[in-house]
Amino acid sequence: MTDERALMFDVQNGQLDKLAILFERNHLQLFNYFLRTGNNRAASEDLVQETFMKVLAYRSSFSGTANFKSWLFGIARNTKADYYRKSKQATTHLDIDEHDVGSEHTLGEEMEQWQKQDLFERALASINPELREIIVLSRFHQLNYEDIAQMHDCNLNTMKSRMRKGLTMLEQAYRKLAGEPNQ
Amino acid sequence: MKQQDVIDWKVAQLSGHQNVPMSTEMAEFIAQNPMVEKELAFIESFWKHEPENLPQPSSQMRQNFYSMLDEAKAQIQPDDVKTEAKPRLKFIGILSGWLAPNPVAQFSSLAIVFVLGMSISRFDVDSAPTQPGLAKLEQEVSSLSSLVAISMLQKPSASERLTGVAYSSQTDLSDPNLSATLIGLLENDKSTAVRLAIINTMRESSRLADKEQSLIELAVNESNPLVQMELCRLLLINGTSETQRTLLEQLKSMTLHDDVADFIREIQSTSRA
Repeated sequence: MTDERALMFDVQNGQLDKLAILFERNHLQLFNYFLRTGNNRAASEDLVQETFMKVLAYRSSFSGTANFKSWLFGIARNTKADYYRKSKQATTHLDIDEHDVGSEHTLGEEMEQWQKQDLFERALASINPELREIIVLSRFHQLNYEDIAQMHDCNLNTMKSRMRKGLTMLEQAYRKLAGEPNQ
Repeated sequence: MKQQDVIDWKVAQLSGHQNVPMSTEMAEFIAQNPMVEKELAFIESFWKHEPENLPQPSSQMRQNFYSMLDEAKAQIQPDDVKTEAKPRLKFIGILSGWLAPNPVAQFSSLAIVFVLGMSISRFDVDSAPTQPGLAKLEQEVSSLSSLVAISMLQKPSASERLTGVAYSSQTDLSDPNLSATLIGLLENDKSTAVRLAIINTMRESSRLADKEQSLIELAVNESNPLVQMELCRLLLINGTSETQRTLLEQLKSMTLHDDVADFIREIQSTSRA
């Protein structure tokens, strides 16, 4: 599989076809990043489109010092911030009604699996947006602490401490939703 | 050993950023702290739980992306046939073209004209069409298009707002409410696509003069280089000479993004040539 950094350099050098490969590899992750960080489906699709438009427009700014994924999510994060700033109606929590919860579910294990997934998603949606974003970037998009710290413009220790706080809040929210006592 | 170290180790392991076995010291620390053990179990459960059905975007999103890419590829010339203009600047123009009002909206407006024509002729069957009648019809169509445009421009989805911009282009932008809505969106819309489409619509309008002062302010204060370049292009090519002079004077006193500065120079050299 071609390295995404190399693909982005190709795009930078005028091989715009290569952007399609980057889009196919990343659009689903980006879409789910926007959904999980509190946007509805329509807004998430718009934000993905806007992010890739910025990738094209600002392709010359990709220096390759960071990996492509963290550069892409940096653009995505700025696009989202711009969206919130302009709409001034940021949804801080995921709209549970709009959130996809899968299709065919039967009783037994599948139902249990679905319920657990639903609880995780709802717990995640209920915590502080900034802490939620850190968890989402680490858990679902495999960005490391250094990359996330750079995106959030803070040092590594602050990032670790925020991650810990976020996970604690997530666990509390999960247990509350599941009807389990908190410690 | 601190609790924070244990959590960091666990997250790094689960994310695949490291593969370091648990140290004896850490194992002892966990054994002595059942709460930490429980916390680690929760983190592991959250990390290892794979969502069954990841929400999928609509096929429209993919189509939009490929339309944008096709337009960009078609317009960017290969290095060996480059003209004097810089390809990066050409590309900005292509994006604007891609964002132009779509044919569906144009077809819809034609349908509105047809329906209005039919209803008027039904009430006025015996009399021959007169000039005031036609003027009234045109006014009705324009006012209806403005109404539809304003309604679409207030929708939450960018693609619906783009349709609203397309409806706006069917009018002469004389409706003050429509003009105010467009200027408001041009200033604040979260979608660059919508903002560029509005600029494109204004370029084709014959009523640019009464909006030029507002547009100068927007161009000067704009933070998005793409939008700023298109606003400058609009005013420097379609604006009055007074507007062009005012804008250039204001831009001179500012620190501009490199791309914007290149762009202004490009436009100035083209207009001088």
